[in-house]
Amino acid sequence: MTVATGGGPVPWDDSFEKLLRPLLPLLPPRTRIVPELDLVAAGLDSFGVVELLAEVEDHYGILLDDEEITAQAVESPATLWRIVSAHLTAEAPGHG
Amino acid sequence: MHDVLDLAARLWPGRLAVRDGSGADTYAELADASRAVAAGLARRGIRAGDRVLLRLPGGRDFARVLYGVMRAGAVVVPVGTTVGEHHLRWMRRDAEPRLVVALGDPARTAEAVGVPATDVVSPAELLAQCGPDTGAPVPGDAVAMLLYTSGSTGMPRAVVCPHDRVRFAAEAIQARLGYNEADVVLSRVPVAFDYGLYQLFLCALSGAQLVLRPDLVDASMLREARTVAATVLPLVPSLAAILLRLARRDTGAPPVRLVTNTGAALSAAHASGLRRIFPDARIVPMYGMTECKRITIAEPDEDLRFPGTVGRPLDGTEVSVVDASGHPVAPGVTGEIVVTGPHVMAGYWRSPEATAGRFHQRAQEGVMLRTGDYGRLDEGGRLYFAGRRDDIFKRRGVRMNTHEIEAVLLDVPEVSAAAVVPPGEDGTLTAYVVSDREATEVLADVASRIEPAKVPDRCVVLPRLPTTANGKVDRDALRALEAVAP
Repeated sequence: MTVATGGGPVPWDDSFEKLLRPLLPLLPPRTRIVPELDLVAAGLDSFGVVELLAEVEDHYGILLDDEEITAQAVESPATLWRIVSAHLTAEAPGHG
Repeated sequence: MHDVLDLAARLWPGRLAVRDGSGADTYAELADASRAVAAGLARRGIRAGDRVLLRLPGGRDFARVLYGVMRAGAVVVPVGTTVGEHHLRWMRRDAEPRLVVALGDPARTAEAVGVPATDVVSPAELLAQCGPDTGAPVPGDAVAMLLYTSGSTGMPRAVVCPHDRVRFAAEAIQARLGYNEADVVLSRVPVAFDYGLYQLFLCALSGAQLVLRPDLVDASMLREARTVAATVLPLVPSLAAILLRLARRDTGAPPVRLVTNTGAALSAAHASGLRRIFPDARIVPMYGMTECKRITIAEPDEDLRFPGTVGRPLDGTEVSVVDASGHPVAPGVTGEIVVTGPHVMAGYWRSPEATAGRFHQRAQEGVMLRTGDYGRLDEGGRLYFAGRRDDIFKRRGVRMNTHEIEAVLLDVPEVSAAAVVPPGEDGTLTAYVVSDREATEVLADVASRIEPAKVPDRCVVLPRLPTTANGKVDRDALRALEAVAP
């Protein structure tokens, strides 16, 4: 498993990490979630993917497109966050 | 088994056999492709009895190569695409394949498996030229497949599967499940797992269409089922859990008429959830193991009248429950499950000792398989599964199994999943649960339901239970958690 200990900023808000961490049973507690973390190695299984996508949709009030729900989308926190943030930008109030 | 495909090609030439992400093959096209593969194998000098390792995702290429290898009289060795180098190299040494069929860079496959790059070929290369069907007929007792199954200890062992026994098992299963030519079977069980693999045979026996989309994530399963208008869903409990979760964000049920379950017991909660999502579906619990493919199949919805049953033995086979000295016990008494019939496979590949321990030739009845599983029969001959031998242990002088404790944990309010790992060297019995409640509350509830010796010492609340590629709870991963659990 990739365990990163370095600091550095992450692109997402706190709630994204709060949604993610409980779905990573193999990630030791207090280990930082870094953008390139291998989510599968950290314990994200296929049920976790379902749960994660559903929670992300609920929390951010977005609806992911069917075509976005792929293995690549949940490779790392960075890949998923890119999709989420694209929706947040596109669906932000005042832009639609 | 390619005879089954040839018959399907005559009966339903224009019906779709296998659909994957890149298109669909009719039964006639699939049979033709398998002849091309057999010719391609002959050109490469593959002879009867040679092993051919298939490291392919489920799809048309897998089906074409599978039937082509069988037609050539060679032996299919399917290996999961996620199997790591350690196990791959062990399988290569054990099975000694003459050829490896894989997608992608042959040099990387060769490196991972540990063979020369010249021994790796793509499905497209095998399909390249059509050839006459020059192959000699394949005798029924010839080996069709080596199916690797994880042993409780050590490296995976291959079960030797001859054509006639595979065919008997497939036909006996089809006789119970009754797939038909209007069915669309959406399988997300890997083809390297026998339950996934046999979907091809069940469909060929019935003219049904098999949809294999390993390129999609499980999270799109419900949508895919709707898109292809799936009527049959072969499930393992982890897939059932995913469907139930998906149904909460997604409405609109596909026309599913039949849901089968194997791999591990389907909980009553999952079964009732599936009945909610698929109102027209009948649910069929089953039980089996690679060593004889399938052991029992329940009647549709029989679980409602006989909770916990995995059904009766396949027609033409026998199941008995025996005590430690091998004598049959009375109905209702738990003992080891023993299986006899033409579906019992031909032992473990190159493992005479392991084979002798489990497979016993009987003068009259054929081969008897000691499953190493425990269970009981009822007066009506229905089987109830109690646990694997490894799940049974003694604690404070009391014999118990993980399943009875898991059943109690699942009975505790707000516990949605539970697993118990038998005590290790330190003697600690640990329960893992998925629940919104505190571990101490869960244990208190368990203590009020079961005798003290069976109450776990420790309870760990997890967001979910880790699962293996086959959808079973990954007990090794749970044991690995010991190191980091508080």
